[in-house]
Amino acid sequence: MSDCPKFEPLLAAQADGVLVGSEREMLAAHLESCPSCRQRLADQRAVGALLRTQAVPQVSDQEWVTQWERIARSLPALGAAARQRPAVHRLYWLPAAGAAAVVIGVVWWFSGPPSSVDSASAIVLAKAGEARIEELTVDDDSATGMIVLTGSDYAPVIWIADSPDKEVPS
Amino acid sequence: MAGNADEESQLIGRARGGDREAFRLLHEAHREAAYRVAWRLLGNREDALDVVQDAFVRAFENLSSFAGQSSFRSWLLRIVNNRAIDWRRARRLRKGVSLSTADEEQGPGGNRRVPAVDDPPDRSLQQQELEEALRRAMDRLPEESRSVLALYAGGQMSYREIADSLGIPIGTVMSRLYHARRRLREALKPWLDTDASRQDETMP
Repeated sequence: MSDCPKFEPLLAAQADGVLVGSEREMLAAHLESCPSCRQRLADQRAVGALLRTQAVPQVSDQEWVTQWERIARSLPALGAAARQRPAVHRLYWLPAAGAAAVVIGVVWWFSGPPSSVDSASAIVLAKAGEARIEELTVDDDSATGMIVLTGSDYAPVIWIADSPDKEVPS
Repeated sequence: MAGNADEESQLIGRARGGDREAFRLLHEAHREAAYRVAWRLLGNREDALDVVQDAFVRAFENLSSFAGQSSFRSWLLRIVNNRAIDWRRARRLRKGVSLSTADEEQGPGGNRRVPAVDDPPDRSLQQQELEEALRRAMDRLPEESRSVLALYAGGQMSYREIADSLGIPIGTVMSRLYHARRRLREALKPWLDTDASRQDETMP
């Protein structure tokens, strides 16, 4: 019949027993008068049954364990990736870290650098929120330091500052 | 085990945090379905296992992109499907011939059986021939039809799940299933007796 093609997708659903409602009624009416589609429905059912009974080669428990071990060998890197925070998270703390740096600078300006300036001499730890400055090192004419996040087991460095030539008040 | 959506959601959350045991449980829960889909798509046990392994690694690497809008299984099986398609293409390139050409090389009868290493010894020759013919018929299906059929028959997914997984309308799922089975029916004529005149094909 000329309208058979529009019923073809419905034949698949009917063969699987999932056709419902008006579509099911339309198909039932069509099948009453269309032996070709009745044959197509029988074909769909037969192939579906064959696929359901087709033997899939078994996989032993030991093979699955072996596969998991192979996958797991790739997982250390995945674990590290999972622990990393997205970049936007780091940026979120930059203002706090910047504020900490300003505070340190102001205090420094008024109090002067540490007296023992003959070597990498002073380590200042200043906390501001969940960011802190570590390893601030001062010598005669420069200062360096790192701003890192706290509250994390990997403490990422988010800023390394290097103050060259005479920026440190004398 | 990941028997319900809440439990699975917790497992995925733990896996995102780098919990290896959560990864292992996700693998245990979904490896069989992944394997059945891969085997339907590839027709080869060892290739299917390799694809499943690769798909799990990729899934775990990209777990952060799983939004939870579909089930984890649907998401994973889509990865399996994509990896199997890539695998088939690579296999064709390696062989330098199409799979259908390779089939034709099996002999003028077209049904010459090369026993697979995993064949149980008690299966009848006729059954083995039928399954080999089915495998070759699956190989000849258009890629998109083979995917839908593998997800339905192998992954035991609903039409809706397949539609969501592949990003296609549910009507397209039905249509592809119909045409895939029709092609298989043509290829398996010698084995299937489906004369509707001798069966009751009216609808209850």
